Amino acid sequence: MQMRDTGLGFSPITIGLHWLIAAAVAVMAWLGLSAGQTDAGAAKAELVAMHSTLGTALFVVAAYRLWARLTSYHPLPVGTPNPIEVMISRSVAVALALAPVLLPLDGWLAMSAAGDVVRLPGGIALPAIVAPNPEVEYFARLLHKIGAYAFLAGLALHIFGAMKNHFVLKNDTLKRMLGKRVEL
Amino acid sequence: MMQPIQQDDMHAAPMGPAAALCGIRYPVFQAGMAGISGPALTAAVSNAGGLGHLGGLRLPPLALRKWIRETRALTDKPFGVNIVPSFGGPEVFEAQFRVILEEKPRVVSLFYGDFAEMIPRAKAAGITVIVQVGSVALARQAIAWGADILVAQGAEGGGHLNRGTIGVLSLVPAFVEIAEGRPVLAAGGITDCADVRAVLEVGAAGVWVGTAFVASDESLAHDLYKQKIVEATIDDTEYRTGYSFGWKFGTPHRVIPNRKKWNPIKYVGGGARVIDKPEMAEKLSLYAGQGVGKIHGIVPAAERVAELVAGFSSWRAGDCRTAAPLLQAVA
Repeated sequence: MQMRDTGLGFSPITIGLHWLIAAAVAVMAWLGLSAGQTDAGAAKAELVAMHSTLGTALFVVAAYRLWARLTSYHPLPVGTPNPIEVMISRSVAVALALAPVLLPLDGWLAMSAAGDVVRLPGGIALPAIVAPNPEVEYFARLLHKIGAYAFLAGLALHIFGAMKNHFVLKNDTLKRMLGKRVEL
Repeated sequence: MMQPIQQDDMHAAPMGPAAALCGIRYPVFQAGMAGISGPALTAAVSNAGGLGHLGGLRLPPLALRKWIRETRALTDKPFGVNIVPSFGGPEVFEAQFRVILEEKPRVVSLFYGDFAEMIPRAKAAGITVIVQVGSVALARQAIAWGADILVAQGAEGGGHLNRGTIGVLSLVPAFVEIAEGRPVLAAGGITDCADVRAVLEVGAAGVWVGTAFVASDESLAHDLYKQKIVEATIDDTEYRTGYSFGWKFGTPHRVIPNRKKWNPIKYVGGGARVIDKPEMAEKLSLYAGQGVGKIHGIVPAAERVAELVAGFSSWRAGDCRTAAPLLQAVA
C-alpha cells in the first residue's frame, strides 16, 4: 500500500484521514456551538467534556496529518488550473490542516487558565499547562472563537473549490479525494 | 525582415558538432519553457532547421506524451523535451522520464537537478542529452554524468538560473576548456545574429534561446506577456531570488518586474499562458532575459531562427542590423 502522498496521487491513509478529520471537525463545531448556546450546568459540562475528548483525539490525528502534509509532495492538480488559484487553494488546505492542531492546544490553555481540568475517558485528566489566570483565559477563549470561525471560513472556501471543480469544471478533483485512481 | 531559410539549404550538412549530434541543420536551440513552448512552437523551430524543445516542467506524464505525439504530427524533424525535477517530486519526474524513454524524442534537456542515474538511461535509449548549467563546478558534474552537450547559461538569461551571476561571455570559454570536446551552447540574452557572432567568437558551438521565442506567433505565452517583452527595454529585467511559482523559495530567476502598487502577486515570478486570465500577465513579474531590448515585434518562430542562423554565416557588412553603425564608424 502507498503510505505517503506523491506528485502522482494521494495515499489511502491521506484519503481516510481527510474524511475522518472532516467528520470529527463537523462534530466538534456542532459540540462547540451547542456548548456556547447552553446555560451553565450539567448539560453544558457534558458538551464541553465531549468537545474536549474529541478535540484531544483530533489533535493526535491532525498532528500526524499536518506532518505528513508538510513532508510529502502533493499530487499535481487535475486539469490546467490558474497558478494563483493553486497557490490559494493549497495555502487554505494547509491552514485547514494546521487548525485542528492549534485549536485543541488553545482549548487546553483556556481550560487550564479557567482552573478546569480536561477530563478524558478512562479517568484520565490532562495536567494544567498554566495556573488559573482570568486574563489568559479571556484571550485563549477569544483566540479559540476567532480561530474556529476562521477555520469555518477556510472550510467554506475549500468546499466551494471542491464543488467548482466537480460541478463547473467537471474534473476528477473531488473523486480523487474519494479514492478514484486518476492517471496524470 | 530576415529571408526565410531556403529548403535546399535545409538539406545541407549539419552546421557543426552540436547540430550533428541532434540531427538538425543549424545549431539554434529553442529553450524548453514550461507552459510556453508547446507542440506548435517546437515544431516550427524544428521545421526551420533548429531544434525546438517542449517545455515539460509541470506537465503531467499523460499530457507530456500527448504533446510529444502532437509535435510528431507537426514535424518529421528532430525535437527535444525539456524536463526539470523541481515540481511534483521524484515520482512525477520519473514518470515524465519514462514517457521520454518510451517516446524517444531525439533530445532530452535537463536543468536543476541530479541526473547521474538518468543520463545513462537516456543515452542507452539513443537519446542525446543536453544539460544546462550556470557554473564550471556544475558543468564538471554534468560531464561526469555523461552529458552529450552543455548549455552555458549566463545570468543574462530569463527564467530560472543556477546560483551565481556569471555572464555568458565568461562562461562559454570556461566550459569549452573543460568540455573534453563536447559542444557548448551559449544561453542568456541571445536574440539576434550579432549575439550569435559574439558567442561564436568565444567558442560556442550553438545558441540556446528562450525569450526571443516567447515573443513568437507559435508560443503559448499570453498576448499581454508577448507584448510586455516587445515593450521592455534593456533596463527592464531584474535578477531575483524570491518566490517563483512552483519553485523552491530563493531559486534565482530573471523577470520583467511588475511595479504596480497594491499588487502582492508582483513578488511572484511566472509566465502567463494563453489559457490564463489577462490578470496573470498584468500582475505577475514575467520571466524574460536581458535580450528583451532587442525584441521589437512578435514574429513567426521560423523568422527568429533565420535571424539567428544569419549569425553563423561568414561575416558580411550589413548582415546584422546592429553591426551596421559600428562598421560605418570604423570606416
